[in-house]
Amino acid sequence: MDIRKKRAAKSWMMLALAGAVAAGCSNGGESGDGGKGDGKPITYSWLVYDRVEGKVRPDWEIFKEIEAKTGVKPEFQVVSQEGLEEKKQIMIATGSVTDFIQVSTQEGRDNGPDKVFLNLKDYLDKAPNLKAFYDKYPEAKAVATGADGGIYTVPVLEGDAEGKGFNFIWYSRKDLMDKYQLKAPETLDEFYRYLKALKEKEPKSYPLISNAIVGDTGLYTVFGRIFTGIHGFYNLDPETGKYAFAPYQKGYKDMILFLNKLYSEKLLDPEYSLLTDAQWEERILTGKSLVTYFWKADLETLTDKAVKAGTAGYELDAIPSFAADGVKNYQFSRPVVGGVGRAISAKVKDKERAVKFLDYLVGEEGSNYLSLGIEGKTYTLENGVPMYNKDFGASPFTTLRKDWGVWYDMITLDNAKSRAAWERGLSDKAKDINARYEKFIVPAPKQAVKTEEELELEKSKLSSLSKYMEQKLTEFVTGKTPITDESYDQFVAQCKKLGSDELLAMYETAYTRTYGGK
Amino acid sequence: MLTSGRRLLPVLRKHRALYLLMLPGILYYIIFKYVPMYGIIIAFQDYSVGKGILGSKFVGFKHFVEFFYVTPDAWKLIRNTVLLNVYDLLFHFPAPILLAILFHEIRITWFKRLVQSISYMPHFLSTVVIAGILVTFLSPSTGVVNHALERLFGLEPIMFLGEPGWFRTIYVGSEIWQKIGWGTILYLAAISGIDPTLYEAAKMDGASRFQQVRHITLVGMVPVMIVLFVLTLGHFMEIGFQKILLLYNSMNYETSDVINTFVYRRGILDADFSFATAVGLFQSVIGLILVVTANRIVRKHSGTSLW
Amino acid sequence: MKIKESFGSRLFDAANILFMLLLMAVMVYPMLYVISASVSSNALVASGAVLLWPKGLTTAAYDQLVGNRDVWISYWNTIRYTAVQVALTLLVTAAMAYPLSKKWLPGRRPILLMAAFTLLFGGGMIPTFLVVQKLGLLDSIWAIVLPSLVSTWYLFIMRTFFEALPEELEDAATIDGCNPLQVLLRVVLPLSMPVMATIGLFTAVNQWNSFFDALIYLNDRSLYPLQIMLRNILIAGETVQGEGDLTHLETLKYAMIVIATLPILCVYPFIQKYFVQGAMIGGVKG
Repeated sequence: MDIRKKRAAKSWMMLALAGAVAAGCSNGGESGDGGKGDGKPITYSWLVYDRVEGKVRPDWEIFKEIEAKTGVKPEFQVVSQEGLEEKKQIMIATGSVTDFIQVSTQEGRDNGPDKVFLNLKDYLDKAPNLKAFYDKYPEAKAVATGADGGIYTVPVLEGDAEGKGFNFIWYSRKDLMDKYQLKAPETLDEFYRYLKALKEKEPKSYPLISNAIVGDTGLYTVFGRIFTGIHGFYNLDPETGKYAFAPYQKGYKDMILFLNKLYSEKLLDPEYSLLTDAQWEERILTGKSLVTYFWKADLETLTDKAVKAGTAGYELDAIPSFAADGVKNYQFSRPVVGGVGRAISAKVKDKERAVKFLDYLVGEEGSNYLSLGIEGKTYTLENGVPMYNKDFGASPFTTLRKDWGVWYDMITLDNAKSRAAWERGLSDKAKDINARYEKFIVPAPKQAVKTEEELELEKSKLSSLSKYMEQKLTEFVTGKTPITDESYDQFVAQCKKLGSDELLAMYETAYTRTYGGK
Repeated sequence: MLTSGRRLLPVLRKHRALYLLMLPGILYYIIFKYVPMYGIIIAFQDYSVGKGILGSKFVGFKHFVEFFYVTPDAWKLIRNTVLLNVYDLLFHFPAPILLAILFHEIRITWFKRLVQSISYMPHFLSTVVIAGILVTFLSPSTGVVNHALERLFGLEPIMFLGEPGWFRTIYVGSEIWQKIGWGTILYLAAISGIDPTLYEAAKMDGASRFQQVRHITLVGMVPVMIVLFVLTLGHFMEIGFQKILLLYNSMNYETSDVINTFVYRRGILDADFSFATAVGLFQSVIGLILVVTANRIVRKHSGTSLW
Repeated sequence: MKIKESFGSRLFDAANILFMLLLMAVMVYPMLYVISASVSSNALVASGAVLLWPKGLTTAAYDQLVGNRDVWISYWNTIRYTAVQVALTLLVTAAMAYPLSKKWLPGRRPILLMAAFTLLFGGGMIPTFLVVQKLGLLDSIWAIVLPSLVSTWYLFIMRTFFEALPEELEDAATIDGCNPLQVLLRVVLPLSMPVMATIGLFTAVNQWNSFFDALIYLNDRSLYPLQIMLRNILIAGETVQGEGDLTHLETLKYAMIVIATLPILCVYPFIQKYFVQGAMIGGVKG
């Protein structure tokens, strides 16, 4: 430890000693408060990046309270988000990871067995909250377990356990719907006629647009789901519980025909495959596009921007989810367990203490601090249910992160709790949208843990297959290649040549192995 | 001209001042460039960050095989990379040379300074900003270029970024636009080293301006041109992929997908250092062959060469 | 004896000027756009309403940047790093390039080869990091300056320029009793102002804009250079969309570019004087 750190540690030790005397004397009445009994103060390094809302501060109140309760003070090491990955790689490679660090669960699985991260399994008997956490969330346990059976990360919770929270909706221009007396479409046919009506009334626009062609909001992904029930190229089919490859499903060809129809009838923006995010936003704000599928949380921000930019009366609203006849009309919820988690360095001093600290943060009291803040100051309990301080407004995360360090990326362990509290405080309109979409939401598939060979297979084949598919689908939709039985069969045949069958079998095997069949 | 071992020490002592001058530089190369070179091994391993270089499994040429045989479009990627570089050499390389000469010929000093300073501006804009500007300008519906085509020439709008045929032109064109100004600095430095009496003598002999440029200015720039050219060849198999990443899309993959964008996409699934290093090694070897060959040719035919 | 300008020559001048005007228009536009966007209202920028002149004038983006003390600390850091880097790089590179420009020096080829090889082959990020770490340079200015001390490109360029200098001048100095270091400092360097200014400028710009080295070698926030600080403030990235303060995002990006770039553009005019033709002329006659 260099001089600066030594001096800092000394002053903390003085401060903490005073607090420790008091702490050491009180009894352990609260549940899940690991480490308090010892009372000896200790600091652990913790890697973070500064959020745009506000930078990391050493004097956030929640950490003062946490320190009072556990004797542990996190020392934040700040990095910029760009380059965070590289920095992390170097830390892992040179054995200099901070005591607490956020890594992807895959990184945890890969490097844990190589003694980079602490094996939490060895300490579970001393960490009741962690044990309960893994029992409650088998998916978390599965993705945190390395090839040697050790547990190396505490995955972050993203979605509520019941699988109700969700991220995306279809939006359209409510002001225009009112103006032209158009009803919100509920089926695929109605959607088509809706687009046509919009085009008629606003001939200069291209009603349908999307900000990407693949990904959760991608055109091919969403329409693939609408026509075949499979979200994306490869995914779990909620009807059968098995993995499927969308182009093999009945209805995929119809999707291509449909999109091609929209393109040639000028209902779909011809530049859809070229658009950057900035261009997409511009088109939505200026009315060049009127219907899109996007993050529901942005609806009000976009409306705001458009009004500020001069379009009075601009209003966006959700329109219902829809699907082709005979196909399940659904949308996946937020995944319950995220792809990243907290890991402890294998070189940490006082391992048991570190685990107990993590245990505290996973327990009710600790996670409340990180996700909600301080009762009475940042949140209140209404009917036993937490809601953020109304003074913070509709975007409480700004104040929460800046002044309190709450809901701060790379620190908090439970985003689901924060989101739930946030959503309870949303505007009535947002709550209404949530209610309207509730019936479509289906719990998201859990992440599968792949073996090394499976990862190799995925690495070597998936990106080439995806690229080919993107290219070919775009050719079909834009009419560059006519859609005939023959051309479509060739497309499927080429996918097979690129390994679509092997990948499909691999995903199914990995998934079943991880969860023992649905 | 290496002297044999026996005569080495006296030679060193004779020119010791010169060798001493080079010492800091040489130390730098050894410490910061050659010591870390063992890292190249990871191209032949299945490198895992946690295991480190000594602990990772050795797999020989596996990654190279994967790149050439397993990857379906390896040859297309190589072709795209090579063609972009060829265009670059043909059009981008000479551009700053010509512009430097034009700058030199401006007689009004304040105007010259102004133009130069402005021409440097695009160099400072990040790739992200430039790509954003390009996308906006070339858009078929809202872009300035298409507006001009329609209004002035009555042509149909062209989806520039959607046509594989246009990609190379757009890429090289934007490179020239961004780097031409800054690229003249080095050549101007070379020009300012030319003896002015040569110009006077030429004028007296009745040489036209054009002849002066051809025989004096251009000639004075040749050594720098040669060195830069050979150095550029070293990167023949690579190409600045950040700009391509921002400009390519599912409609122009045919011509825009290059080796580095492929490696990048593949790397997203997992931090695959080994594969990236292996491909990088292949690119470097080709670059090396080109540089050595070019250097040999250039040494025979002119006074300058890299070594 | 005044030599008359031919008509062709004057036509050329006129055409050249016209061309330059066009060039300026084309080159200056993006910079103007960036400056305008940085002082415009965010909503208008996002909706594409801002094309050339600012709309909805506001200094919101600058307020956020200028009010941030970190930005000023990092500015000072960048200035320090750049100054030190330029001085050291010019010294060490010139010291290495000068002997290498002597074609009769034994061992010249292998050394040049050794340098050229590193242009193409390198160990990569992690081994280099380990070297810096082992040398104890982490979290210090030396981790920023030393790993990029000598650039092979610049080495070769400098050597090429030195080769062009007539040997008589150096011989004269040597005969007068100067050792090679003195020859370098008193004769060669003053005559090589154009190339020194050029390499100095290039090095300065590189260091000014550099980001990656600082990222991996520095942990102490008070040592961060400008680029890192700016990126710290800017990127909202990874979180779920809508759960972050994105209100100033667009214009912040542009303000950041302005703050980072303008100083360099202002420096250039001072370097101009080194590009005067005939810097050598005095030497030969003397």
